[in-house]
Amino acid sequence: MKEIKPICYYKGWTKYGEELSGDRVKHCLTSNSLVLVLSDGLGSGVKANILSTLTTEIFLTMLEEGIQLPDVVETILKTLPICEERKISYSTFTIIQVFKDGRVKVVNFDNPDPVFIADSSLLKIPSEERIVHGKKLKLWEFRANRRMYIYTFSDGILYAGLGKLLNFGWGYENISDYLEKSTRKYDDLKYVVDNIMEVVYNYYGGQPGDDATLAGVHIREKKRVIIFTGPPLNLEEDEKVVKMFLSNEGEKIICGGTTSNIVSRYINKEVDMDLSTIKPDVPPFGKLEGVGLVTEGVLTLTKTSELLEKCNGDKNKLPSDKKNAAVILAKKLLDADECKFIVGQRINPVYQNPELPFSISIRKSIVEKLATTLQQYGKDVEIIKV
Amino acid sequence: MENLKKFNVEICVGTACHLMGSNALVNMVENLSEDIKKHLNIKCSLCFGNCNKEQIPPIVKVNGITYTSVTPEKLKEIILSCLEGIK
Repeated sequence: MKEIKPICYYKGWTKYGEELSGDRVKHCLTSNSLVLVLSDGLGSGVKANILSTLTTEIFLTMLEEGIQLPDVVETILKTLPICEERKISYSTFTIIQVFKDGRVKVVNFDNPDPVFIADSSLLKIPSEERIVHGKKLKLWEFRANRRMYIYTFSDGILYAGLGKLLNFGWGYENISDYLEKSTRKYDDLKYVVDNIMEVVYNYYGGQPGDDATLAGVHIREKKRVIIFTGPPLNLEEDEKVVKMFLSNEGEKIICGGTTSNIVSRYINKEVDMDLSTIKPDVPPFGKLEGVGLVTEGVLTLTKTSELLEKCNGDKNKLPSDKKNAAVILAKKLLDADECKFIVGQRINPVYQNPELPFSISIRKSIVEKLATTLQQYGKDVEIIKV
Repeated sequence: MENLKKFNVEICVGTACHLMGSNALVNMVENLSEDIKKHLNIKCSLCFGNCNKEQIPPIVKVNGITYTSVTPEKLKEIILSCLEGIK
């Protein structure tokens, strides 16, 4: 993998009858890594919530400030308050830190062991044990050189269904197997986590007997798309801009008739349009050698922007129409981590034609709106005006 | 095998043409009888690059000849007259 892009997602249930969860997950991005902390405070309710919140906050604040993981762990173990009733200072934690260069560090203190899945199969990674302030920690350190999922969960998941649907709860082995199967089948972090949390809820009969939380980190290669829309302001710039577009890494997309003609002329290949994909509100799409998708410009971009706003960043909420240029473009943008737009600023004289029944918005403002939405969904967006 | 005489029908589906009704043109052509369709090479283009204030969209090229402000009825007439010509 050339450049790593870790993403994370988590979900939890609060113990039935409690207002606050004793489990807490939080993540942050440091200058060179993604850090996720899951903490389970002793007991349940307010006290547990305070313990786990303290733990996650101290971890993230210190790691964000660049302090090394072993030092942070030591600080946590030293500073956690001691429970009056049980005379123990207690909050379990698991920290997953994924660096941009692919290094992964996992530290676990008393949570169930994390589950590692690489290339759709469970992976047994040997751990190292370390005693810090009398407490036994488990450490994993490795380099992720392929697509990988790391799941960590609180014991509420482990004991789902205990004494009700299942005599001894769901159990570590069963959960690992289920995670492996779901990940292989769906290959979608959010979908897998949501699905497993539904199972947990049902095993508890809708009344979780403990706070139950599942968090996952998906490590994969950074996905990039580059969109060329609109002809460059200066005619002489055409070739230079096409060269820049084609030399960029990532999936290439053209939005615009004139733009596609410019690229097609330069590479001397014809755009192959698929007539069956025409819709009343969106023109059809096609292909061009070296370019994954060719669509019309402003109408398709406007529709894509609308769809992206409506779906709230969840690609499963997009319409299922596979023959709609705007839906396909929206999916590609949601799948990407980095979206680069090359926006040509030449004015199309036809759009000024008073015979047109609609007003056509300026391309630049449509792209800017699209970019704002994508940024809200955590994408890196760059706009290059030409 | 019968050597079919065919002619090209290219419909522009670019922004302006789409707004001015090229969707209806595509639907009309798709719904023509197989007898007529077998003589057509139907294609669509994202932009012919020649629409301006004089050439009002939607624009269609039939056998290389450009037609402007095309309606489904007008396109059907053009296709039928071309068909007459090759029969």
